[in-house]
Amino acid sequence: MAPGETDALRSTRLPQEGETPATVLAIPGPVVEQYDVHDVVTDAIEAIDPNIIIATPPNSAHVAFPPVTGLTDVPVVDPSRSASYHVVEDPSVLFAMVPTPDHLPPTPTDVPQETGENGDVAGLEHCYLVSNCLELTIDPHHRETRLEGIDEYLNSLPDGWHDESLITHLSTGLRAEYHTRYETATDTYSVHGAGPPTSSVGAAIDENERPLIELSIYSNGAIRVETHDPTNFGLQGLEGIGPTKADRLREHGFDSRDAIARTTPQMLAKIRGFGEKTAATVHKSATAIATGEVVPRDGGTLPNGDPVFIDIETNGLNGEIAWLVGVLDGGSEEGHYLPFRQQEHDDPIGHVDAFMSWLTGVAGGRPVVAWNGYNFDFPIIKRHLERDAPEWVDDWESCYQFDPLYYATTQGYATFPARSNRLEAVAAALGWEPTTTGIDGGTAAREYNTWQRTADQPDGYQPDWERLEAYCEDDVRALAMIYEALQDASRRPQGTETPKTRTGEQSTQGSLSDFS
Amino acid sequence: MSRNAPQHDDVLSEEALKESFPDYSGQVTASEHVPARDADTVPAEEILRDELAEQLDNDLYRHQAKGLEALADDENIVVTTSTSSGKTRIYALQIARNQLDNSDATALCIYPMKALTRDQERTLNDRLGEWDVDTRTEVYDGDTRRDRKRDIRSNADTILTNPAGLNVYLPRHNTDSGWARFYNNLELIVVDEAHQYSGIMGTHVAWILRRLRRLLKYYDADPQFVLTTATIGNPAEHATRLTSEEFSVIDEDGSPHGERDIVLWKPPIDEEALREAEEYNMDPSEGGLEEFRISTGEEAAKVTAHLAINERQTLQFCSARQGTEIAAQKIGGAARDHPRDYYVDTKAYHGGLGKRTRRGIEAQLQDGVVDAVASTNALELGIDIGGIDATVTSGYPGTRQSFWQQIGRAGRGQTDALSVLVGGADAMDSYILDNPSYLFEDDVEDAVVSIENEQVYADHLCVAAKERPLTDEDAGILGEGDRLSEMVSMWQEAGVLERGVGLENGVHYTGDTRPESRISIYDTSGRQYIVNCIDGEIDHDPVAKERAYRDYHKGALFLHDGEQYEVVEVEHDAQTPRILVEERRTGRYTQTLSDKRISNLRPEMSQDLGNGYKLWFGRANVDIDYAQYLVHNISTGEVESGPHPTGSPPLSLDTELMWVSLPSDHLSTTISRLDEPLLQPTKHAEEDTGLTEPEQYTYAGGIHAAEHGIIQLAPLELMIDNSDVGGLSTPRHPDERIPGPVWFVHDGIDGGIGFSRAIYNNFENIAERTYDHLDTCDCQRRRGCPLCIMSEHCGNQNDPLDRVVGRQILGDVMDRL
Repeated sequence: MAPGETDALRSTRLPQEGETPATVLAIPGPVVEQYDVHDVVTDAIEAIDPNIIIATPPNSAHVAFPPVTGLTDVPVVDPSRSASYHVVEDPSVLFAMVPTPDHLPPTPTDVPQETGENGDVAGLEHCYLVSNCLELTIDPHHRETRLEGIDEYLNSLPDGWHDESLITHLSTGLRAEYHTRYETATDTYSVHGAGPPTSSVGAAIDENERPLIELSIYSNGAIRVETHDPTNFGLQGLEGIGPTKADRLREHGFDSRDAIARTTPQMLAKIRGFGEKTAATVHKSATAIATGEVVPRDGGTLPNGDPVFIDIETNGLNGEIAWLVGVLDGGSEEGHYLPFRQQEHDDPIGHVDAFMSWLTGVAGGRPVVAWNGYNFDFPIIKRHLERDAPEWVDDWESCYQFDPLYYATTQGYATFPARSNRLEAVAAALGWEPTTTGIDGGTAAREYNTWQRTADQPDGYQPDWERLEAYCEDDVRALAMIYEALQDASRRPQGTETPKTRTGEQSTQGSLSDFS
Repeated sequence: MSRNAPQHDDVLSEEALKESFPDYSGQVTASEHVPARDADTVPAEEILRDELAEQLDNDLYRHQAKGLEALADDENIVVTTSTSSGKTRIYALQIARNQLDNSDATALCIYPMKALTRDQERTLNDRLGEWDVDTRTEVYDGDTRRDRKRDIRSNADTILTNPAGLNVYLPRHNTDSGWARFYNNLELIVVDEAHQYSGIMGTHVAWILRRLRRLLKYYDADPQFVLTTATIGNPAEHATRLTSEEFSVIDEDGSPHGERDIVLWKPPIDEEALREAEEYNMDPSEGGLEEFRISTGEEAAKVTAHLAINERQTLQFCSARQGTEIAAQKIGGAARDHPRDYYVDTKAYHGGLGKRTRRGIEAQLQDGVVDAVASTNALELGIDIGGIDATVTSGYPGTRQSFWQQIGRAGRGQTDALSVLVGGADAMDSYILDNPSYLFEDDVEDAVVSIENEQVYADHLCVAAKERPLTDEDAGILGEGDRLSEMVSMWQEAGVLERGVGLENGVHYTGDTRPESRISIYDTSGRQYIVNCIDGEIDHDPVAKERAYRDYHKGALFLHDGEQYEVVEVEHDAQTPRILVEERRTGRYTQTLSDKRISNLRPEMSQDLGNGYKLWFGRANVDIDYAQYLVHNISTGEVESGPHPTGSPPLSLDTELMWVSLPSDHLSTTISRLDEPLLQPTKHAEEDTGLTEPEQYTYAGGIHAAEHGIIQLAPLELMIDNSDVGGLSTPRHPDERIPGPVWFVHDGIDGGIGFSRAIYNNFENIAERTYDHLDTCDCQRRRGCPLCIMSEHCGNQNDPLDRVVGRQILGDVMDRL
């Protein structure tokens, strides 16, 4: 393996299979300043269920105080203000929060014993050292990226905190998606971001985002990041509610989704700015969340026939190769899972050929269902076929394709009981539990690309294919479960909303929900 | 015409205009007679296959024939012939030929303005229809209905769009088989009005076109380019800069025109105002007679009204700051004041009008039913309005290219035409009225476009990586030498390109979704300010940060489209930064003061002129603090209040600049050569509290004047917007490579946009023109005037300034060139 490949793999290491991570919720100051804390932050804490909450810039000082601290028993910490130590039992990890490394005791085992859930630091598997000391500067004029503050940080780091296999360094001054292995003459350090984007880094980063950040922390140093738009939580998380309408609802005593679900659309329609249509939409959205069920609307028709559920894995954000087409033949519980996966480095055809043969043969005439399929899976499969197996294009074009996300959100035929439209979030709201952890679309793409790149090396990289296929299976079963919930809902009484018609380009959800 | 016209004079020549113009008092300062030219044609069947040649009503003009021949020889062409010379016909015929050879062939046409795109869609459809070519031409841009877009991507043969649209559409090729089909079959790319792409926008367009070409390699498509431009000095170089392809220049114009007189017109002294001033014992010599001249706008309206009354349809071009609505009113007023007292049907035309209104005026011009139209430069571009009889240009439009483009609007086929340039009140206009030969030389300005801006490059590289993983093969088109690999490393370390992967393996994009949406072609940082009016509408382009800090701070007064506005709030931290303005009529103007520091000089080129004189080009940090501003009275120029704080944060630029360093003893040698009167401080200098040593002050005024003069007159040689150029002059600078006095000219945009580089490369010509103008400016004042060395953008209130000493310093440098 080339030296570069080793770095790539280590820095994105996979967590141990099946491990449940510790969860850190990072809250930037503007979230507290711009949203109703009792409404939005309470709901976010409930949904994300963190072990620890950290305050991040800008204006981190606004976070680690009441009212936020009053909302929860979970520790709310601003690492830039004072040192504190927190042990999580499962997985067994220590969080050391310090303004600067000067505050640290000589080794992780020397941290004050009274801290943490049980205070036992002896059997720790990994330690996460959290500060606000490191920031990133991008300097295109000199074509360099600088990790600002790293020299001073490392100089003041006590001797017992240098072991890369035990310690991961987090900074709230770095955006959460950032990670690097920083090398000095003698040591290597794993450095990870834990905050929102804070400085201008050009077009590649949306610096206007001030999201809530969920960090899933594993015992081997692996970290997975998911960002959440604050407007997905609380009253604004309901369909049809922006900041003004949320305020009006509160003024009228409707300060929670439950309260809205309990009232009637007619009562809501009396509020200024709420027409009958808005009132009905808001009520349905609140009801869906309160009951954990899909709420249908009039007019939608699900495809006839037994669907074939699919989910693809691609080679990148703007993917062009569907190297894995995961197919579920049957229901979410009992259905048979068929992973059509590329087998050889230089054969992008065999697996799609097999998939199309199966689809047109065994599954001939059945509708194909994919989450966000119109924007992602369907066009990518089509492009893949056009390029590598053009004889199948007509068959693919003529099969009936259905996208439940488009059906529900863009066309408006159903309301999901979830805080976001991500597949996992919607399925989870309906009671689904994943069987795999620690992998997302981006990880899967990296694994595939590394496999491809090391193809001509004697000891080329071999991904854990079973695990990747299992991750895809998880998603396709989640999709089936959502579809079944849509079917159930369509048999219940319906409302009167007018659906939108299908248009050429949709923007319901970034086509890459798998790459957050 | 609007009503039954009475008898009219022939006014379409210099002599006729002078004779017929009411109370003519010698306004014409110069003129040029352009003799008629017959069409130079080539039989269509010599060039085109019979199938097409038979369909054509007319033969081909020579330039059309040459262009089509070059295209048949697989060359790229840049066509620079005059307005209305049939440039569109060249690429329309090439589209037709490609279609006849291969019915799957596609073409992409890029236009700078949406209005032009729609206009050209009609033209192309009409032409191709007439020639019986079965092809589908469609506009695809932000105004295209979503439900039509899919169909267009899948089925259109020719797609017309704009660069900002293309920036966003390019990354979508992966998930859309319509785009894939289109790129697979792409045989022709047309970039129309390519001279429009200079400055910041040019830099972006150059990268968007490089991204396109690089993507097309993946689709195995190698289309030809047709660029059309107005007449510019460096068409081949400009085309190559924009596309990184080689071009043949097609400039031998074979289209016919009639006789044409071009007249330079200086507004006369307003005798009445002068008499009044004398009655109040004001001394008109204090500010020169210049301030008693009738304003450019008033005078232009009189000329336009006179031509229109004489049944000559006239198009009046207004400068960006003049309002076309106000100009239209003035033309109406001037017609009423005209001895014949006629109603003249006048319309205003500008980009802010609705599509339907614009289309209506275009049709009225074409059909000859409107007498006069006051327009912004929007009608300079190739929108089809037919021919008109006369043009009046109110204030020099800034470039000869633009001026000739406007003039080209006059003339119906081979009928006679007249164009009048009414001079305005700034350095450029003054130079031109004094040196009319400048306008009629063969030379035209060079278009300036740079691909050196690293911030812009870095952003487009991210989008390119999203379009296709970056590989070794992209070196060259996506950055020469080490530039690509170094910038890729930077982004890998920042975590937005895949880490640990070499270019030999293909580097994927891993940043946030839709990076293309965070690129703005109006600035380099992706953070542009939008301008909103709190009590009405304002049609104002977004403003780059660098200009927002200087010209749009809270309290700033500015003119736009003839109206005055005041900035009431600036939201620097908003998601989309915003400038809120309010309409005002104050009789005041504001002037921003600044502190500037230039440090960390990194020379890239230099020219040793000997004896301690040296020209330099390179990069440096330019830190500017636009901290305060003054409010002046418009009529007296006196400070009414201030300094007030602007609230603008300090601005740090890392940008390109050129500098002129002078011998260490230049101050003393210059002073010793000055005649006694010049060593006496001016009256103004005595009032300046900053005055320490009179001699130093005199010298500082000279070097400051040289710096201003070069910046003010650089547009005589180069198509640059000098409000995006800044300067600094000082008798001493801490950099050890600078032994004595120095003046700097820097790009005002972070990262640079090629302006100071172009000034460095053309320094001799610019210095010569500046030297001449400083000598002959009508003001003949030591402090100079706005027509020579005073600048509204000067952060030091134009102090100190010394025209005479400035000229001497410039002369010393020129002696060494």
